[in-house]
Parts: sequence; structure tokens; C-alpha cells
Amino acid sequence: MSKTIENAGFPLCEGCVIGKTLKISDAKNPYENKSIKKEEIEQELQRLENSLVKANEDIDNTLENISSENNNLNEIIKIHKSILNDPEIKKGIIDLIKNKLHSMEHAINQKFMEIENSFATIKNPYLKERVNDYVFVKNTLINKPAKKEEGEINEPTILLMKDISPEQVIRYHNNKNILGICLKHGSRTSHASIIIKSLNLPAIIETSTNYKSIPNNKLVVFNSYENKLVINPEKSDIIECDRIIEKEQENLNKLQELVKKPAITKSGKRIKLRANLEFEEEIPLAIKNGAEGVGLLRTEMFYLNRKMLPSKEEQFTYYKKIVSSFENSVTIRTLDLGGDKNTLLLKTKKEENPNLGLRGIRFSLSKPEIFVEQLEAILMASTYGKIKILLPMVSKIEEVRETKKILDNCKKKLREKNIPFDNNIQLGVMIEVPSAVFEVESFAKECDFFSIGTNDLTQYIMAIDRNNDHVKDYYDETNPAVLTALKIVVDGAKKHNKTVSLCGEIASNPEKLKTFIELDVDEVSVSTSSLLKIKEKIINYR
Amino acid sequence: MISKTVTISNKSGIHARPAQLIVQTAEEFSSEIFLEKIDEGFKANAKSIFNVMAMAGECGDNIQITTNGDDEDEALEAMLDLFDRNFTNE
Repeated sequence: MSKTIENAGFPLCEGCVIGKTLKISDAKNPYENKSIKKEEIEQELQRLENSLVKANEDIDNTLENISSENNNLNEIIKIHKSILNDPEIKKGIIDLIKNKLHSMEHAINQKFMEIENSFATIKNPYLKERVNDYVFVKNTLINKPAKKEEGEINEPTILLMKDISPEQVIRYHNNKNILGICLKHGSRTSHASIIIKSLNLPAIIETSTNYKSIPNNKLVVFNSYENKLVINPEKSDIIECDRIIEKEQENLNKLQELVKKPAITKSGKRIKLRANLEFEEEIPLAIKNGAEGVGLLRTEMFYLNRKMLPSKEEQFTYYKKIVSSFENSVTIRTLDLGGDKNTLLLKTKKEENPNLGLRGIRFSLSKPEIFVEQLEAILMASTYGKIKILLPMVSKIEEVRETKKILDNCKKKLREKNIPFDNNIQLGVMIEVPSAVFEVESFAKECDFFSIGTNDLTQYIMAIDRNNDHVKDYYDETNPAVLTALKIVVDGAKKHNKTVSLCGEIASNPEKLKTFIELDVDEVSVSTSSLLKIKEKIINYR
Repeated sequence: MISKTVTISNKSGIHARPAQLIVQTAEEFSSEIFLEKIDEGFKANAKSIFNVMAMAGECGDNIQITTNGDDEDEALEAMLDLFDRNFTNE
């Protein structure tokens, strides 16, 4: 077979690697919704027992790791344990394995689906929301088995798959022999894609390559810089690839030397470099790349692509995990739904102009029951490290005042329950609406810090929908009007001694670095993978 | 087999925490323990948190507690005690 070049698709994460092809036929858990043969019943029941033992151990470990003062959490974990060891649920699962020949995962899914359905008929709201505990236990049970589905991979390998789950990304990444991933589908903004990027795993998505024409175990050069897949490469292709790898390694080593150095320009301006974060899987890279805490922790993933609203417990566990991972502070942005981010979970009416509609803080204030849960979860986590709260899409001072009232009520509630929290937790405002730019000094009197979201601010100042192809050329974060707005914010904040952080693509773009250094912002927050590239630019800036 | 009827008197009914306490208490005994919401005929295995929660016992509901086994007397007493205490810890 002679050399062929496939034009691959969208380069999600850049890299150039050589390896052998391996087609993974189904991105889903292979046991899921599958049937088994009669003679496999015993084996399946044993798998169930093993999963139960493992899940019990996991829960016990969690129990050991939380302080005994945290009664609330202790109780929830006890409830999880009772669900896990519920004899009726277990009986139901065993019955489905034995009599319906369901695989363990299929049986667990089926049984918990029945449970979820019966919760739908419960009227008591306290009880109704506990369905989340069952979902949690189900996931604990199902995620445990199904290891090594890809067999023993012990030589450099490029995976060809339809799609990938976040768990698979992590698992594949742990195998040092998996060098690259090629996906037929995949989405640029999915959880899995964000993890792929943060792990720096070379990947191409949305590929048009016909997998059928590529056998397993074929040598390929996978080059996502040039967006191509070379099948049966010639010697020159391999030499070319080796050269790229060498160059990458050189750059990487150079950047790694910067980790311990502070980001100071040649003229002595110190800029704090923090990370944007969305998923806990991004933590290791953020730390490795020397992030000084988290400048923007997004919280929308609790609501997107999900069937259930998150429980306070789930949010708390997540915030706690992030906060305790960093020595420096973590700025949590409260829910920023609406606009282009919508969720089916919360039935909101379709809006004519969603970008001018119920977004960010407006949304949260219109759904206080959801907002309160998030604020309480944040407060509960605030004793595990330093947390700051950031409000998105603020357009008038009343929104800050209203939030403060709600926050005070949350504090009062926790105090009554003797749950500790940081009473001086800082509250900041995100500047992304023109009205907030003009009113920055009024905000400065009532809030603790600012963060400028340049993407939305540019969109609103220029009246440009970034996703509209007809006008996208108008979108320019360095347009003089935008720069003037940024200057008004920084000057206004400085006058009241409030710090200003910059996030958005402008901060991640080394070419535009000059702009924000001249603006004299205190911190920038960028994606975990750009941290060192930006630091290099700052250090070399004169 | 012995049984006795009680009335739920705590305001929020048998929600998650009381359900967990019921299960935790029931597990200490080898006897079978059932809770039955008399008016609806809903019968729950007291060792199953899902059963107990699905019973959705509200304040004022009459619950018949039935125990059956070697330690049925102690089990019944412990369950009655739990209802008496309104599911608070000792």
C-alpha cells in the first residue's frame, strides 16, 4: 500500500506524532445497555459485587477525609452509603441480570431509571430533590468497572474513534503509549475537548477521514499542525515529524524554565498570571504551568448537557476540590447561563435576542432558589482556601445590592447551622456591559474587585454578534472604543484601590499583550495551556 | 410477628435524613422490619432507604411498624423510639 494523505478535520490540540492506528469502535462504555449470555450470569453478578465493594471503599474514604464538624456533608454521605447498600435496589439489579440477562451496567441503569421515575411522582420538594443522591450513587457504581477496554496498548498508538467521553480521555492519557486521538465527531467546546486541550493530547476532531479504508495497526504520521494524517508515511515524512517533535520539546523545555519565575516585565511591572478553569481535570496542568490561583472558575458545566440540577453537595465538593488544590485564591464566577449558553434543565422562554436577554446575574436573580444553592455551596467551600465571588453580566448597581442581600441571608442560614465559612468573602463585578463601564466608580464603592470580560464587552460596545458570519470582521478587541472603555474601567478602579483582572481571548493572545500591559491591569487570567506562552511574552516585554 | 401503629409528628415528614436514620436503626436487627402507610397500603422494607423515601411519609400519616424475627421485640422498640424522638439523635 502506498502513502496516502487524509485531510483530517479540525485541529483541536496541536502536535505531531507517529504511531500505529487503533480503531475503537464505540465511544460508549462497551457494557452499557448490553445483554449477556446465560453462562455469563455468575460472572456478571461477581462484577456487581466487586463494584459494590469498590464503591463502598470510595465512599468510606470520602467520609474519612471530611471533618467531623461538617454534619451536613456527613449526613449526605451516609445517605449515599445507605442507597449503595439498599437491599431492595440490589435485589432489583440482580433480578435484571438473572432474568432479563442485562449486563451489570444495563441492569444498574434500568433499576435507577425506575427509581428516578418514581421520584417524579413524589410531591414533597425536600424529598424530590434527593433524586440527585441516587444519580450520584448510580454513577459511582457504573464508572468503576470497564477498565482496559482497549486491551493492552503497549506501542505508540493513534486512536481512531467516533467520539470520546471525558472519562475515556483521562484513561487514555494515563497510558503513555496513546499519542494522538482522531475523532469523527467531537465538539470544540465539549467537556472532553477542553480536557484534551488541557492535557495537551494531540487531537483532530470533525474528521472526514473514512476509517473503513484504514486498517488497524497501520503506521501513520498524525500532524495536527498541518491538519493531516499520513498513512504509510515515507521516510521523509517521518524525519519531518521527528524534527517537529524535537522543536516542540525544545520550546517546551524553554517554557518550563519559566514556571518558577514571576511574570515581571523588563520595566518592572508585575502582573499576576492566573488560570481560567472549568473542569477539575484541568487542575494538574494549571499547577504545572505555575498558575497563581484561578482567575475565572466557570460553573455552567453543572447545568449544560445534564438531566438533573446539581445538588448543593455536588457543587460544594467541586469547589472544595478546586480551592484546596491552589495556594492562591480562586475566583468563582456565579452561573453565567443565557446568551449562547442555554440549558434544557431550566425551562426558560425562548428569547428574541438572547444576548440582550436573561443572562448571567439577571438569570440568577430571577431564579433565587438556584442562586441561593450556589452561593451556599461557595460559602461552605470558603474555609478550604481563599475564594472570591464574581458576578457576570452586571449592568446596574441594584444587582450588586440585591446579591449582597441574598448572600447575607445565606451566611445567616449557615451560621444558624454552625457551618463555618469565610465571613469576609470578596464580591467582585465582571465588566462586560457598557453601562457598567460608565458606572465603574459607583461599583467600586460597593464591591471588592473587577474582572473585565473582553469578549462580551467588545461584542456589546461594537454591537457585533461574534457568531454572525456577516459581521464578524467588525469584531476587534483592540478597536479604540474598546480600549477607551478598558481604560475608563482600570482608571476608575485604581481611584478606589480596587484590583482589575483581565480575562477573555485578548489575554490569551500573545500578539495583543502590549495592549493590556499598557493598560496597567493587576492580573490576567488565561487558559491553562497559554499560561507559559503569555508569561514568556511578559518577561520579555520592555 | 408483632406490630404497632404510630403517627408521624415531625413537621417535614420522613425526608432523607429520617429515612437514613430508620435504615441505620433497622440494620442493627436481624428481623424483617416493615413500615406501612395504613391509609395507602404502601409497604416499605425499613432496611431500604429507597423504599422508606418512596413511602413519602408526611406529618400526620399513620404508620404501622411490623417486625418479624428473632429480635422482633427489640427491633419494634427501637423503631418506636425513633419515631417518638422525632428522628433526632440521642
